[in-house]
Amino acid sequence: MKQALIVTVLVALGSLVAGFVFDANSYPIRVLCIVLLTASMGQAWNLVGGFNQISLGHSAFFGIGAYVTTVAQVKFGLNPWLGLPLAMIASVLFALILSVPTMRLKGPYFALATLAAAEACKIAASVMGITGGPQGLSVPFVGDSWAMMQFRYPGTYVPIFVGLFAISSIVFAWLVSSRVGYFLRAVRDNELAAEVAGVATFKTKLFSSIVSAALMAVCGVLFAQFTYFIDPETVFSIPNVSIRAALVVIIGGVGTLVGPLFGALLIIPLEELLNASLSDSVGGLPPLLFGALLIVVVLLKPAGLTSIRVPRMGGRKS
Amino acid sequence: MTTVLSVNEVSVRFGGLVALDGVDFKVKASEIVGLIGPNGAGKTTLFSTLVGIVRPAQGSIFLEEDRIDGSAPHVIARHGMTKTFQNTALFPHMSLIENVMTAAVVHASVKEARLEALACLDKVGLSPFANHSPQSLTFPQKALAEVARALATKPKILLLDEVMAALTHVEMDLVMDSLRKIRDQEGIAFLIVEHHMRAIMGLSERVLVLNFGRLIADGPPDEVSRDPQVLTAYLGHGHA
Repeated sequence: MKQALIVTVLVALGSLVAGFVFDANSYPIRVLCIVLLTASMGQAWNLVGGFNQISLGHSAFFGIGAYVTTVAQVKFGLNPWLGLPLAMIASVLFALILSVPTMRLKGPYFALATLAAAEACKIAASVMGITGGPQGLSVPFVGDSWAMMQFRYPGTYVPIFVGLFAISSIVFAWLVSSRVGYFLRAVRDNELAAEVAGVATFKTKLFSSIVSAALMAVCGVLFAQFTYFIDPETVFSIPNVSIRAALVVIIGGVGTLVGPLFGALLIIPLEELLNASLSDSVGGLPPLLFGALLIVVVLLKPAGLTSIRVPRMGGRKS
Repeated sequence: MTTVLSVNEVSVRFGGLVALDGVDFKVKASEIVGLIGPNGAGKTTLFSTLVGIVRPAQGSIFLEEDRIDGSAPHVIARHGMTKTFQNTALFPHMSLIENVMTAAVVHASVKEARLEALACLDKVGLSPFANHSPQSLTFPQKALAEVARALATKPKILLLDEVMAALTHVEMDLVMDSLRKIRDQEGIAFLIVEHHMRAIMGLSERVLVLNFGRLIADGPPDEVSRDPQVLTAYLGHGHA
């Protein structure tokens, strides 16, 4: 855990420095923002998926977060910083409603139930008038403003994404090292034995689910403020949100602090590179390659990239 | 001596199968009670019912003054009754001390739980293995680790499901001594399912016998071992 914290702090500081040093409007800085956002989404997913509840419905929390602040801003003129807690509350309420029937499900049943919930949210957002329907909503740009969480160039967003990444990492580290962390690991390993040992398994899962939903909502809010446009197909997307969050965690290391970061650092730049080089010829190839990468990692390194040990220079002393 | 567990006319049905039929007994504080019966008699079902995994169709269960039948297992564990698992159910991805700490952090801070967990491991002689993975332990050690985890819940009564299976006679004597010591020091009552008659007869102050879900005997070990109904249950009519 100590090493993971050091890596996390170094990446956060490195990102801050990069945000100041490099051109604020450069492409690498934009990619850095997406890496930090994806790592934070992964960390939020990790709180549920890292403990044996493979959720495919996290796009629901992300989308709710994005829509609540954007609708509040566009329709009611509410500042996005004030919309942020509203988005978290809305997402947590949805998590509570979703958790009651789904938390007793396991494995593929849980995954499918959460997937269906996210799809239902996408359909609801597509037919509702206040959300702009399938056309989505544009966030009006009011110029560079910390108060409105809006900036002309991606570089100015870096401190905000670093903050999000730091908060999601701190929440994960705190949760895992607290008594809840013991309960979550026990529930993951043997739910019945945990229950008989005095662990309130349902409450434990519910708690991690609502914390995860709140963090995912914050990711959705920042995504909306970063892209200035949201629509149901984007923010409630199962492949681009739910599966991407799961993918970076599984590739990086499920249930670990740095797993989502390692996964995002590998997947996002690789995806950008593949899209840039292959989109004209074989556009559908990147998802296929990520699927193959996932299979390779699961087969060869089921604990993810974080389980790879770098041999020490000079070998072991006799 | 106060009664810690009262089981009143408890019946359990799985569809048409009557797994427990009007089981009725009491366990006093600090008492060590053996529970025996042929395979399929309902011993494990009784344990599962007592800790809330299985709900009784009829009857009531009291832990001291509190009625607990129908409560969730974690609620019953927090009230003071828990069990070990026949096939052991340690958390495989947690170290031994973390396994025990999981039960202790329910009522203590993480720091206090670590100390409590070490003390519980010490009681069963496993403190040298505190940082080992459960997978590196032998079966008897795993069974004892479950006892340590159960002790960390601070039970008033502990249900042990064949913790002495696979032990040598010397190991069995050590475990029996440890259980007596825990009982004497902490006043915990034990209800023990065991197939080793040596362990049951040597450790129990009272023995309950189940057969086809019904309690057919309840008394001191030597008296129960001569009971014609018990002999019939174990050996058949021709041998009783």
